[in-house]
Amino acid sequence: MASAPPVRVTSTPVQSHSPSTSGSPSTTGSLATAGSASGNGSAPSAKTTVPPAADQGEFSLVVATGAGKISTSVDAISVASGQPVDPPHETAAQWATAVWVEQSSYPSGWSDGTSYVYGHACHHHVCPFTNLKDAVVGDRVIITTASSTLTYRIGQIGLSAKSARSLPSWASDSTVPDRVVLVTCAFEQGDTSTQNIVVVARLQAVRAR
Amino acid sequence: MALGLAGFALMLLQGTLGKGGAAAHAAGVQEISAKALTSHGCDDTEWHFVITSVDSEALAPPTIQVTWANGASADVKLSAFTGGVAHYRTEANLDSIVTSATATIYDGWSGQFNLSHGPCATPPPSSTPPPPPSSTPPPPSSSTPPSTPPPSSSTPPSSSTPPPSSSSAPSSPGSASTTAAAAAVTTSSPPFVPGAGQTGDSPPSSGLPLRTVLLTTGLGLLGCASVLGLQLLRRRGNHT
Repeated sequence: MASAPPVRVTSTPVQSHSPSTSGSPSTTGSLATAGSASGNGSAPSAKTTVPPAADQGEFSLVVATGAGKISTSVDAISVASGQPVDPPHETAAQWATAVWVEQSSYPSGWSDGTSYVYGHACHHHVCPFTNLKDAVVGDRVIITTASSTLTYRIGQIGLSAKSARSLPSWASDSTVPDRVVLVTCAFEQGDTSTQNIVVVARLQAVRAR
Repeated sequence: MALGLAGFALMLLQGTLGKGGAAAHAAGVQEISAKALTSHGCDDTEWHFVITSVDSEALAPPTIQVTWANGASADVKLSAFTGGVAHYRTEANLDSIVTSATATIYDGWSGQFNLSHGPCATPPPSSTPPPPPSSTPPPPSSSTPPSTPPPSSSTPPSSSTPPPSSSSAPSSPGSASTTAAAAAVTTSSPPFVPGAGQTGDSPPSSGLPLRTVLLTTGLGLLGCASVLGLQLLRRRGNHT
């Protein structure tokens, strides 16, 4: 575990980004499908408004891979721009919890940016993203917040050097809406890890709860 | 001796320079600099300076020397004198910002020399910020000096006064207020840049060996106690 600057973790509601909602009528309870989720940074053409989240607190995340489900709760973490993200790991519960960077957009229906979620991958602890290496393009990522269930589809997976100041360009633009980026460690040999696994998933559907 | 003669000659030479020279200072005047250059009122139509607590209009400086961030400078004439306040107005360089304004006034004056109002680079604080920056600053034009002097009210640039220009970039760094204004104009902070994840783990380093050592030690002590106890019982048995 590399030394990282101290970070603040909070489970209380945070107010960093408010989801951008249009003025169109909401379709509570309906399944909305994104119009164009493949374009880089392009917002879906026909946006269906989902009521904004009542809060921006903890949410759950599931990655449905061919090898099984990865399921974790996601807390919030505050990290300075360009700084490494080291999710808390003082307790077993912290090892097992992923973190959403509150400086990025909160997962929501038609967000105004990218949501970044970091989680540990472990050999000696129970960690949320240990099996993220099994994810492949096309797998679904399902995020459940207090107000909605968001379904993303993995569109890109790659490696990124931990020594880099930021994630690769295809994942580092935090202004690209309607996507989530998952980051964890990639183990090369034994416990050696010099790279991150970076998974980019785009929003496909939103279901209000 | 020679040094004294040279000094005397220099004094005589300066005496011929008229007002503004060092001799003028010796005659009971002082050079003053305007304040409130960064916190003036907003008025896009003119630059308006005031010197307060002037004893009479005759004692008011006939001109003040103003320098702008675009490199221009000008002598601004006294435009009005009311109630002991001298007013100086100019409509030059409204697209720039004032970096310094100086004047020479009689010794013993103790009023205020302020930039009363002038163009503001940013809208008033109560108004909402402009939409996201869609317009980039204009490219450097020929009328814009290649390098703008650093902000200083006491060291105006020595460049000559160019003609008033409306094409000069108003966003050249001139003062602290300029920096703040530029930050306000460009609005929000840069987007978040996600860093690398320190998301691996390693075997617990100190827990397992310590547990092993304690366990081994405990077992050893238990074994020793058992042996000693057994020997003690055997000795007692022999005596009885």
